[in-house]
Amino acid sequence: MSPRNALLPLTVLLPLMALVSPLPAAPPAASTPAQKPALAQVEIKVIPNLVKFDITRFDVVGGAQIQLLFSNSCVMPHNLVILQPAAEAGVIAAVNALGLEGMDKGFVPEVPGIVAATKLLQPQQKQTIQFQAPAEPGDYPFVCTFPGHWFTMRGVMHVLAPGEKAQGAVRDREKVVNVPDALKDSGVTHRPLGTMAKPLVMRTFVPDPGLDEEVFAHHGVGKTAVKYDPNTREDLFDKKVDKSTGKTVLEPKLIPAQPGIPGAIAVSHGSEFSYVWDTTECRLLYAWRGGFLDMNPYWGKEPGGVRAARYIPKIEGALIYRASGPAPLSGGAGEAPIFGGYRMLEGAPEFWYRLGARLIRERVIPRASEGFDLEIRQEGGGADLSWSVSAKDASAVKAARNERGIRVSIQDRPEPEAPKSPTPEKTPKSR
Amino acid sequence: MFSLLIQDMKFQRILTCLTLGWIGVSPLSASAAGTPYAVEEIPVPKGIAPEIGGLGFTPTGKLVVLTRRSGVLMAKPHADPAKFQWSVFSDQSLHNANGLWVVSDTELLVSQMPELTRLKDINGDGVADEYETVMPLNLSGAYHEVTAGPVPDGKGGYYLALNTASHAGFTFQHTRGAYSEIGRRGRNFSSVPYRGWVFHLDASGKAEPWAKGFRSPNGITVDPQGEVWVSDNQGDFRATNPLYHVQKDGFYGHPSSLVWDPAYVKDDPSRDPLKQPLEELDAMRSPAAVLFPYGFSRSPAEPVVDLSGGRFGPFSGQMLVGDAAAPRIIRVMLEKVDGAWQGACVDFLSGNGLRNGTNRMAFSPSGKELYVGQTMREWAGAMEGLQRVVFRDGKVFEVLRMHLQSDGFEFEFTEPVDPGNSDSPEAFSTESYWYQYASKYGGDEVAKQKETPKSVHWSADRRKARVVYEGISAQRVYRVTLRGLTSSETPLGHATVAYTVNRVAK
Repeated sequence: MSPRNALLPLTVLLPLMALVSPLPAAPPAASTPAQKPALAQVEIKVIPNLVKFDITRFDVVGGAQIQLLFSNSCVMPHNLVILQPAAEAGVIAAVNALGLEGMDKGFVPEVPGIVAATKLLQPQQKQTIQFQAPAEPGDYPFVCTFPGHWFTMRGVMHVLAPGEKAQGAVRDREKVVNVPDALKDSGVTHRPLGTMAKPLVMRTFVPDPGLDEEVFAHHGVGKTAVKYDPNTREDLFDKKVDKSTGKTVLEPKLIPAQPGIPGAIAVSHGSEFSYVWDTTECRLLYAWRGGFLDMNPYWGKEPGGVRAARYIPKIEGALIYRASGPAPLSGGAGEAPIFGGYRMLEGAPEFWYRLGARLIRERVIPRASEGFDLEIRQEGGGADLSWSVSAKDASAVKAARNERGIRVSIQDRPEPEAPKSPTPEKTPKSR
Repeated sequence: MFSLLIQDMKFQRILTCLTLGWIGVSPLSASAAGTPYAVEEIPVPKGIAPEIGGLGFTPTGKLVVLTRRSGVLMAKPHADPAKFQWSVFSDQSLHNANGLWVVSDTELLVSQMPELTRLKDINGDGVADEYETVMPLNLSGAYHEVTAGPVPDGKGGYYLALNTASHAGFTFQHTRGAYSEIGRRGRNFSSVPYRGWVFHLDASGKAEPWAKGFRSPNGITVDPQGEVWVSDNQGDFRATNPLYHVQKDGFYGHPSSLVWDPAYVKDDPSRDPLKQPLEELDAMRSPAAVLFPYGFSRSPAEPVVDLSGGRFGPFSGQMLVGDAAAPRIIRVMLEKVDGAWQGACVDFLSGNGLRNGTNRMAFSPSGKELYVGQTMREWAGAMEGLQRVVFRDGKVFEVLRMHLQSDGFEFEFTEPVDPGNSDSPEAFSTESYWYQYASKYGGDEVAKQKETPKSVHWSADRRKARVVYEGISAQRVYRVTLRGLTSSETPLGHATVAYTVNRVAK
């Protein structure tokens, strides 16, 4: 047999090798149950990118104090949760039921069956936890409860039976070349800005700063929803005791709808002037000065990563205009505008949309201070539409017809403070 | 000899280290003979978030890179990956742009969250001046409602695949599209039309909801024969990651999309597919052509068909599927059995410097390079960038095809296989299992059993092995680990192959 051939049986033999891994694995010293067990230390890392723990089994003495150092040496967030022998299905079901709250709770639900758990560690974070090993001998699985990770991030903490000899920790054999994340050095800013001459056009979820319901005439109405359990396909309820009657009542676990706008275009002419124009309503929704959008909630903490739990960007600065009432340009009752797109004219977008047979072109003409204009042109479709100004807006908005179409001049109506970062609607007591 | 090796741990450790150092990847999953495929890192300009939502080539051979939030770049590929001369086709931040079809040097189709958009350079300065809405898309406000495609249908039209929303996100008070409270129920849900559907847009621009039952279809492609393929992601109603051969009006198992199917709702708008008996839903659905074992693929992305005519190695005509959650590309070997597509999968590339997070892939016009774009920001941490896999001529020893037969499988290899180990049925270690259709998130391999190959028959050229079992059953995945196979002493590159048997061979 040539030396190359001698290598071949290794692929078959490697699994055996793992059981007698010669690598030091910080196992607790085996001690007889009669002795007071010493503090045992275990270190577990994550194999970068592979969604696996580097240790898949370690032995402990029942009742021993265990110090477990968990290092998240991966690019994804992970935790390490040690479970009672038969608890996995229930705990995973409870993790699934956390839904939106999962991230906030580190994907560790408050249910029985958990022996010990780390926090949800971000990449490169470490945490040491100390806990007492269960007295009962047996196999206690440990998993990462970040959704989906438990399929491959799993191992066993084995509590030794009396007289059973401790073995070295079993290591996973897979290793991968760690390739750097190219985003890290990209120099991307999450507070992007355009300039007055060359605006930045950005399509993103944007906050609803509390516009009138009438402004959203062509949107659907998102409602408070009830949490759902994929295991049972049932809605989820909390058991509450009604103090007045002493009876237990079921209250649905609610998920409030959020104040975001899904299909808008945000444009930054620098920190002096920004606006949001919506492609569903085909109208200007609001304008502001003093900055653009803080994208950290949506794009993750600079340079990027996991979106925040409430992933609507934040307006920086104070509003000077907000749309109100029905659309000012109307093609007739109930006629929905159909957005057609935009073209870049002198570096800035000119939006176009259809209202029935009419094609409307609309531009926002910025000014560094004191007001801005809208320019509206109509192509085809019969009689020219007019721009109606509501009584509420009469003092600040003037519309005039010129040879190009309609010029709407809007005076700043500065709001005293920046719109609050979006907050969910108040959770109603019951549905 | 074998037992000697086990006892001599020191010797074995040295060998293991050598092996790891040599090939840089797991000794279980990779070729000990090295790989003829090299992975190269391609830097993009500063200020661009290299989160790749689409890759393609213009008719003049320019690489087009669509980013999810930093616009569109173009460059003529260079032999030196660090020397691409990038130009900016669009400096606009599109909304989570995740699908690209290159029409010409001056025209692109891009899917972003609220719409399919045509980007056009009108004045010929290399920068898009027109952004035309080709098709609006509805959004509930969930971060998860991204789109895969467009991919051309070969007749002037396109297909798009629309993700459902995830319960890890939320719904806005004002939705784009009509809101359905019934559709809002669920782990992954479809509260606005037509989440969880594949759309067809014909050459005249007419959009039609075309197939349903998808969860997170992050990959869609049309093969040269015009067949539509969609990769979906493991999760609720998905025990593992599937690859579907998609046909018009088909239902592919995730029920949320059904709320937007008039044929399903009929005259009862309160009909909730999540309350329908599982057996009924199960009976309605079309099976996956390939069920990727979870260890093979954790989050499949765009499939691409190798049309290199052999310039990328021996797998011409086969499909490669990236994985967003592991540093891996898998290869799919399809065949038609009893009138339906099904087949096997095997690792194509694992580790070797490939980054985690593969989302989009495109072959260069020469066919010698596969460009690979990564992003997995939304799901679980950042793993972003641009790479290419380069085929350096050399020996590729792999399973080329796996054919189902009435009593077993025929394995076809890229190279003649050495006699010896390979003549024993034990070289074809096999287990079979299936997945249960269930509403929960993910599922185990169930009813797992060992399958014993009875005999192996090699062709005279030793490129084909017919492996005979007691029998082959439908609705089982056969996972075969080929042990100790060599070709002129080169070990087999990737030894574990999994074949999804929906239908048995007659």
